[in-house]
Amino acid sequence: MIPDLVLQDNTNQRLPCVVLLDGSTSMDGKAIDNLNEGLSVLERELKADDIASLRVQLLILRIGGHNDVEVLTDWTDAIDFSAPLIEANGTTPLGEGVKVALKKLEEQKKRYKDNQITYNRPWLFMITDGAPTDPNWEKAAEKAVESEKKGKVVVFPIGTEHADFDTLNKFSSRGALMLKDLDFKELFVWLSQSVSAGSQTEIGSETQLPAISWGAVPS
Amino acid sequence: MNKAGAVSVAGLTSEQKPKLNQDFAVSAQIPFGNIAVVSDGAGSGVHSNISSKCLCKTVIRTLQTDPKIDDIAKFSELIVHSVEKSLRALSRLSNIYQLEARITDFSATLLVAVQTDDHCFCAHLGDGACMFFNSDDEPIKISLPDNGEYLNETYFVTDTNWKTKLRCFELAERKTNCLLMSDGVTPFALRNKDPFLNFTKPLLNFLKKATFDEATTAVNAMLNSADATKVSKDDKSIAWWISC
Repeated sequence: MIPDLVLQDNTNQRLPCVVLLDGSTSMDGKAIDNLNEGLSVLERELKADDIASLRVQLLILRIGGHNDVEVLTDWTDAIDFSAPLIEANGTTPLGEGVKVALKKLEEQKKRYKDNQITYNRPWLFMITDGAPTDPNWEKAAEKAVESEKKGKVVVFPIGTEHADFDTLNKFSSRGALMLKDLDFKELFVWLSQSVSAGSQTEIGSETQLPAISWGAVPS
Repeated sequence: MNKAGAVSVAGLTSEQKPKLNQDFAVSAQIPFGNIAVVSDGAGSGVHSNISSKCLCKTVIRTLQTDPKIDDIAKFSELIVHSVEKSLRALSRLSNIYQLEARITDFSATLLVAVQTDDHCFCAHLGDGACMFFNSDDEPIKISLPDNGEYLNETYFVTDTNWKTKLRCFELAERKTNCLLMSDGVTPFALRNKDPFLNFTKPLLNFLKKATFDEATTAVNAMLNSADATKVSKDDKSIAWWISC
């Protein structure tokens, strides 16, 4: 034993993660109920994870209304995260939502740099049951792919079974994933496990994502 | 006083089981001083445990056989030569054993500190840290981790532009104590951009008094402790010399 030696408990690192949620009218009913239940699962799972609860930071955005993008939960540590309630009404301005998400990520990264906080590559999860209704979504999709190429963010487009996957695929070079049976609960368990793995990724390693039980690659 | 040592321990998997140690650390005494080397093989590199060992041993052998280091230019030249020699050796090894390896399978970082009869030198590529201290164990020169933008990324000897990322400097002092550490150790040895003195001072104080066996046993236990594992599950390595 080395007398008087103290280890610096360095939890001074973050994984910023944006969850962009579709709150349009078409989500009304079972989809929105399951989504809200899933968000509660996300809260519970992250808080139960000692490391992820301190390292993961969440920003929850809702798209809906009259092509609105609403910040439901501004950047918050996972340990302080409280699942918001998503309402279903309005349109699906997915392009605008992605633009806001990318902008908020850059702002947060600047904040980390200013405060000497180290961080992992940010993640953006976008979840929808349809297709963008805003006119300039293609520009936003190009920007998302370009940001991925530059290593600024990792984008995960996820659609329910009737979503427009040809369109969603344009938001990420890795392609979109399909959520089966509106199983948002399993999706958010996976999301929680994924960000937990991402927040503990070692130098030079790729994050090993957990197996997907909630969906598939759309055919 | 002239003591040197090195310890490297394997990290843990997410199931809390020991994994293959991809770090390597070594120290050696030369006629006028000491050498300490640490290399951290990348998690994504299938054979990076081999490359970290090969790098450390090649650097040590090169510096032991050519210990006359007049200036930083000569030192940098020896380090570049050692790395190139290691990469050639790894390539030969890969062919002989038909490893079907890509160059990135040998990715590793490198930290080298050398004490000569009138100077100290440091070469650093990637993450980890090198810290020089005076006789009061106050830090006098630090080489910090170089991660690029993101925490889980850094620079390796296998990068095409590795020479541009290699940082070399000299210290016009001979009487120093030195700690080299891999990125599994920096989370609890650094506070922001400074050495965490509640860690470095007790450690140096202990290393001054301990025998070689006592030092390696205690450092090994500290790196394997639950407290250390709580901060980082990565492989952990420290190499040191004490000369004042």
